[in-house]
Amino acid sequence: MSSLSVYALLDEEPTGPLGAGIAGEPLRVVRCGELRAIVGDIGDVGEPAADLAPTPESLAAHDAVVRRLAEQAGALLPVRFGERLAGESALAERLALRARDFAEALALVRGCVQMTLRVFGEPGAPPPPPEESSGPGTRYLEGRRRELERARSLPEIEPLRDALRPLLRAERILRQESGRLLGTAYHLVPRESAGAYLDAIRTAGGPAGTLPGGRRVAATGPWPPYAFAPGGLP
Amino acid sequence: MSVVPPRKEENEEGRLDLFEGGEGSLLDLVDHLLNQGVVLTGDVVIGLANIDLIYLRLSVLLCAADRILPGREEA
Repeated sequence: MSSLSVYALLDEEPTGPLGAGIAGEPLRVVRCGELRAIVGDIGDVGEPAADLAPTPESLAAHDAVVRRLAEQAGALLPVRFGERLAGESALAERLALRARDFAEALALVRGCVQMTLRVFGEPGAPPPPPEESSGPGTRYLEGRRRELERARSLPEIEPLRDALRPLLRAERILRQESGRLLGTAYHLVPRESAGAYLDAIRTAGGPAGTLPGGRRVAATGPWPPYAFAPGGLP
Repeated sequence: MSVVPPRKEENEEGRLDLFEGGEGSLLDLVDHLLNQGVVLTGDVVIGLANIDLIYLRLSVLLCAADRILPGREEA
């Protein structure tokens, strides 16, 4: 039995030819309720698929396929590289479990693209520890709350907020603080505003991409909305 | 399909702009395609092996790329 390589989810019929996947397999539509999965048939279950190894070539090829599909629908959710299922029944089962999540995500990303903004520099001071006057359980929970808040915050991009706010439909933030990479903001922007977004970044950061405080930013896009798929960020 | 290498276009200050441009960079591809997107099978994530290791490697790669960009203080 052949397995399916899944590339994207839509909530409407694609408007043009689907072309081929990264292994040259013809792509087709599998309908699961209101959802449309774009898949390719590759090999048999249990067989290794060398073409699915994450190499620079295969990643670029997968992105190119997703970009092509994104041009044929108002809304698309990219599927993570390497997602492979045993057949249409397994696919339908997986999609049915989260049909509402997928429908909501498709509504969110409709007409939009993702811009990826990375911030580099020295990390700021860590937040103060919880007050000692509270009990150990409270201090632990308060500490966890602060950790979670910090993991989803990137105050370093505040100088960009006024310029970017009118352009954003949604935002996902991942604070990394790994070396000089402080974090990444994934911005969902109407397709027609992608150019204005990059202009705003260049205007705020200047030629060196430097923000007040000495942090540097680098923006790329437009991308398909990878970070806005359900479960898109850890 | 040709490889999409990191773009190495110098701006007017002679700095390497590794990230700008609609095509993005290899690092962005790794981040977007291996860390994000719809996940349908946890097995596949594990099969790509050890997602934590990949994520750590990604962080290292992203940091390494940052070091490639000469800072203002180094000019």
